[in-house]
Amino acid sequence: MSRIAAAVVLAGLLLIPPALDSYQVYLLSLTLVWSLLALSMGLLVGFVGEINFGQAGFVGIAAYVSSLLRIDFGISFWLAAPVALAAVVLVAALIGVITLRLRGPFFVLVTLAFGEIVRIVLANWQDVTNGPIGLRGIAPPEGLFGIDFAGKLAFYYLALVVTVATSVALAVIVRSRTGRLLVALREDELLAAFVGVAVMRQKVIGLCISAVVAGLGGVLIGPLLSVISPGQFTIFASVDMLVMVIVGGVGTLSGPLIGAVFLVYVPEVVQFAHEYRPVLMGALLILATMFLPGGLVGLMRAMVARGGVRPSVGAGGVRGG
Amino acid sequence: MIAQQLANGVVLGSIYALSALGFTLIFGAARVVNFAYGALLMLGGFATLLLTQSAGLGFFVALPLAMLIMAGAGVLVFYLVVRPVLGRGDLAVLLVTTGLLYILREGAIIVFGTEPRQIDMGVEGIVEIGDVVITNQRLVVIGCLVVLVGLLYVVLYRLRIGKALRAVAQNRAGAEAIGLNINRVTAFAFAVSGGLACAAGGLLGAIYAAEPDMGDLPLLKSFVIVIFGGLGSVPGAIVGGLAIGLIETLSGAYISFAFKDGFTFVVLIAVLLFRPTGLFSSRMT
Amino acid sequence: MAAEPLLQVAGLGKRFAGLVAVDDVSFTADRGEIVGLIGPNGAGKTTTFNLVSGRFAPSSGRIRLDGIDIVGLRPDRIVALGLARTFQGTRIFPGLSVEENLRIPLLARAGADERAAAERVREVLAFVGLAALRDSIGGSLAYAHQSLLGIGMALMRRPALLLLDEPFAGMNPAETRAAAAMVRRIRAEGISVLLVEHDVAAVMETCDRIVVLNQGRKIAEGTPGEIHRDPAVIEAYLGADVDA
Repeated sequence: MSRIAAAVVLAGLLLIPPALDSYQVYLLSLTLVWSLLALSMGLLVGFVGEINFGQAGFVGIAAYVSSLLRIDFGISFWLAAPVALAAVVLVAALIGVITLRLRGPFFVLVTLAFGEIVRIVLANWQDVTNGPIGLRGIAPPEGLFGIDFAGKLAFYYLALVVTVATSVALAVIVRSRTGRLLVALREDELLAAFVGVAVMRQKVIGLCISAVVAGLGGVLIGPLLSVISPGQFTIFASVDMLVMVIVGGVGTLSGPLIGAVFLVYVPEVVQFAHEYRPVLMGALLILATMFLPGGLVGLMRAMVARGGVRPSVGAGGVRGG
Repeated sequence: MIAQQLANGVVLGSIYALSALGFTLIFGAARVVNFAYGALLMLGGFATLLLTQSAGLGFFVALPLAMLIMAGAGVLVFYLVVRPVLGRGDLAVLLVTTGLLYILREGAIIVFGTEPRQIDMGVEGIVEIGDVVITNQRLVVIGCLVVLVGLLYVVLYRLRIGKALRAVAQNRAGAEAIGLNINRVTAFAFAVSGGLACAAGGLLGAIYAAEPDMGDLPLLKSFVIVIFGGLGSVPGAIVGGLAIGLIETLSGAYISFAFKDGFTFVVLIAVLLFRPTGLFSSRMT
Repeated sequence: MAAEPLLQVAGLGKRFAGLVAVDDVSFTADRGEIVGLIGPNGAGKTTTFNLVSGRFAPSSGRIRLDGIDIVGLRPDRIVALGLARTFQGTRIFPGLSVEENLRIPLLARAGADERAAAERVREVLAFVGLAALRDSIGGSLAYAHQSLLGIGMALMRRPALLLLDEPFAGMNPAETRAAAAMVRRIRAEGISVLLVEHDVAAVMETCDRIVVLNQGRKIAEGTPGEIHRDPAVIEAYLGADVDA
């Protein structure tokens, strides 16, 4: 059932965009980038059982490192992107080793501080980052294998390939040894430790995978918007990702994707004044946590399947750590 | 010079201590972290501002009144937002209180604007002790800490509900077993917490300014302080608050003013690095 | 090497914020032995259990498993050295199926062989009598079944020593007899057992040797017969309200 749905959606995403105007194509690309970010947060909340308010810091590091390598050193996008991802993984591993032994609120606090530190560095390391103004005129990715990525549509397809490949890779990881151990950890960390799970190592691995996915979103943001600045990578962006995950559905991979679509298009359709967006996010966070523990995905499952369907490994809803 | 900085540090530390007290009480009673706490502090600041400015009350009438109002707000937060998800684990509480933080903080920006506004305390003049100069306003801050801590001890050690609160904080299951109404006790903790947040907000608004993001740093610092002093510990919050106030003032004066907030986080990370097992076990028991 | 006991606890002590919970406790458990840890409420037996299993770090003393000092090791390292434990009441992964619950201990070990894992799951399911519930979600099981699943998880990696945390709690006499039989079957598999328990009668019937704690100190050690007659034990239990 969900496979058919996924195939239909994918076919639509492949075939329809050439018929759309360039703003619509841009919106779709933006949704894809947000999908990556939401997936990265979803992995953390749903499988590692932690919230990272500094997730946007990972995104920012990837965006800045990749763009600076291109602007300052003339390195091609295709080389700069993997370097940026490696940098993000390194930072994530370091952060993880230091902080993941802290539980619940302590971990959250340190991630908050991490996010702030990244923002402060981006805004104040004037010589390198150009301060609060940020970087401008970031070019589309250079052509590769005869494919030109200069157009909005070509970039859209690039983002689509990255998002689909990431989703598939995460689906595999979630069912792998690491994914299953992470689910056990999320269910009961103390018990997991005493049946032999190396808790810290698994959590650091989980954080690193999540950081790679966030980094993928980060390297795409520069070319998509052509401008990056510290203001894009604040705790607000992290909370946006969190809202996408909670509204979409915790502990699933389709949840963050659906949440991203929902949260990019709803304000677009309703034309909320910009200043009301954070209030809306806060309200959605409370309402979804209280009344929609399975998120939109859980709601759809409940409507489609009336009994007989086994809950999947990850269908845990919001659980405590 | 150093005596002057110490005095400034105690003033700042008093506000931090008040703020951390309210924060740690909720953790003690309910084992949850209230991320909306900074927003309550900010609302307390604006409540005090409105009562002095619009209602024309004196600061020392307006502040207790605002504290009562915010105590009520704390109870509302508990019953409307926190209690419905209380059985669902830390993450759920974190999510709803983060949501509330967003609504209140951004709502305040829409309602009040981002412009900082100072609360008029109606106290002027300075006191000189040797070569240390302190404004009377700042002495009021220290006085408020002393009075409120005294009141808090009366509440916690003399009143029935306060004793119940301590019982719940020490042994939740035991307190439930002897028939204490945990919900009522927790609601009371939220009330006291709201009052203390308001006191911190009102004083911050008077010596600095009331603005929508004024609760952000006190929230972070309360976190640091309760980690410093031990989650749920009242004396820990007072000592921790004063210590952080002093660290910040001294490092700001002698090392670097621009990065004075950063030093708090350095302390935090150092504490977390060297005492992780202590923190870990404090959550297990 | 064979002369050395499987578990050696020497001079174990634990202080919580000035309160001495365990004070200079020493005992051993040999291979193939079932050792019981009893004592009145607040005697420090649960703390001792948590120290031996590596949940808390002792303030003083040594714990050696098969000659290796395990003090300060991470739980997963201790498990890898052959020590497994259960938890009071029931503690399982409630959202996972019975089979997946049993798989986690094996997955936790790097380089697990899939076929051997499937075989071990079948063995343990049969051993604890949960074969019919293999696909049920852990959280949906009855209390007794959850506690069996907890024991099954602890057995998955064939530990040398199994620590059982109040295995007879909340059981009626018939269930207690069945659980005691299970403990003896575990021993028959070549696994030593250390259990902490309130139910003194059940411990007397099940264990080869009993260690009695009172107020954090060891007051007696011996066979059930010896413990039964020990005046210090009788004094401790009579003086401190025998709990049912």
